[in-house]
Parts: sequence; structure tokens; C-alpha cells
Amino acid sequence: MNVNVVNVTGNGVMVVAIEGRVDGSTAPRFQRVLGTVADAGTKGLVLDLENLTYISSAALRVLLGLTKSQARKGGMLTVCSVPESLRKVLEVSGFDQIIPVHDSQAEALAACSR
Amino acid sequence: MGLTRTLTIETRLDELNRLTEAVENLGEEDNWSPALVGKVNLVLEELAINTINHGHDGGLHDISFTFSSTEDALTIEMVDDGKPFDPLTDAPVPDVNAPMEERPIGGLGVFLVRKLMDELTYRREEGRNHLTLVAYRAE
Repeated sequence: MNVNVVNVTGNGVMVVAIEGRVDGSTAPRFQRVLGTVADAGTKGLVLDLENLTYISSAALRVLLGLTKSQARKGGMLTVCSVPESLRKVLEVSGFDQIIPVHDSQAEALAACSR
Repeated sequence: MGLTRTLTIETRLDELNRLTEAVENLGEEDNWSPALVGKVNLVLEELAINTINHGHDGGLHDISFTFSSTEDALTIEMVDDGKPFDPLTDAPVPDVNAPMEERPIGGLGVFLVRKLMDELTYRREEGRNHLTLVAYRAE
């Protein structure tokens, strides 16, 4: 699993690309890295999932925690470019109703800037 | 198509990699769709983690997975000698429509198993949990 900050916009929205697998064994590192990144961002966090191949419920737990902590400080968490194989997991878990899902980075950034 | 294969892992978290690898190799050999590989990986990881973390009061035990496939479906039988646990009735159902503030962190694993598999049957036999999972090949 790799987490890379790929863009920070002028108004403080951070775009982070996540690659590989987030499962029971990589979720603790995922949580640590994203927590650090989220603390540095101000207004919002866009997670680009285009090259994410796998998520388990351990990953969903991290995303839920992050969504809550972003909301507490007035920020927003969105995801974009979700691969078809992962969409089903977000849907059945109801996460697509908690975390805004966008087709592209541009759309997600526009939503965070509103 | 039409393969039968059994994999046995020990109740240690570092065995999960072996499980994932086996699922990916089987998927390639038996021509599963990427979505099916993803589903099976997730479901078996959730179930194995449950058994590893909660199934026993200590000691190393075996969990076995027997995969058998036909043209239409993949069937997996998971067997362990842990405490009786029927994922169909023994796990709370999370409210997936609850607003974010009310969603507890956790409790999703077994729920995902129930949602992602097409058929699930459980029986307790001679001190072992037998869980049979069926996933159809067609979406």
C-alpha cells in the first residue's frame, strides 16, 4: 500500500492518491499516514482511489474515523475515481451515503471548494 | 473450471497473506472475474480475522477453506474448531443508513460477508463451525 500526496490546492484542499491494498495488515499504517496527512490539511481531503485494488472492513473503519475527525474540524472527506470492484463494497456498507463519491479529482475538488 | 482445492491456515494474523495469495492464484487459474476475486478476498479475510481474534481462548488452531467451482458458482467451505459462531444469527446488524455521527466504528465485517455472498449456510458439527459460502460467477 502506498499513500502519496499528489496536490495541495491554494485553498487548502489536499489530494491524496492511495495505491495497492488496504487490508487488516496494512490498515494500521494507512490510519497513521492518513491521520498525519489530515492533520496537515485544512479545508478538505480528497482521496483518489483509482489505483486502490482492495479494501476490507479494516479500511472502512479508518475512513469512517477520518470522516468524523474531518467533520469535527469543519473539513470534508471525499473520494474519487473509485474502481468498479470497490464500488460494491462502498454501496453495501452504506459508505457511499456517508462519504461523497465523485467520478474525478476535478469534481471532488469542486465539491470541497463550495 | 471445475476445480477443488483445500487450503489450511493457522490462527495467526500473519497467515492472512497466504490466504490472499491462494485466492488470487485460484482466481487466475479458474478464471474468476476481478470482482469475484475481490469479493472472495474480502469475505475470507473478514471471517478469518474473526476466528483468529475471537474464536479461541489461546493456542494455535487450524482453519481450512475448501474451494470448489462449477461453471456457474464458486463454493467455499470454511471449517474451524473455534467457539460456535453463526455469522447469520450471532452478529449484530449495523444500521447502514444511519448518519455518520451515529455510525459506530467497526461491526461491519460480518455484515459485508452476508451482503457480498449469494448464499450462506452454517452448521455446527462435532465441535466445529462449518460455514458454506456460495458466490455466483455472474454479477
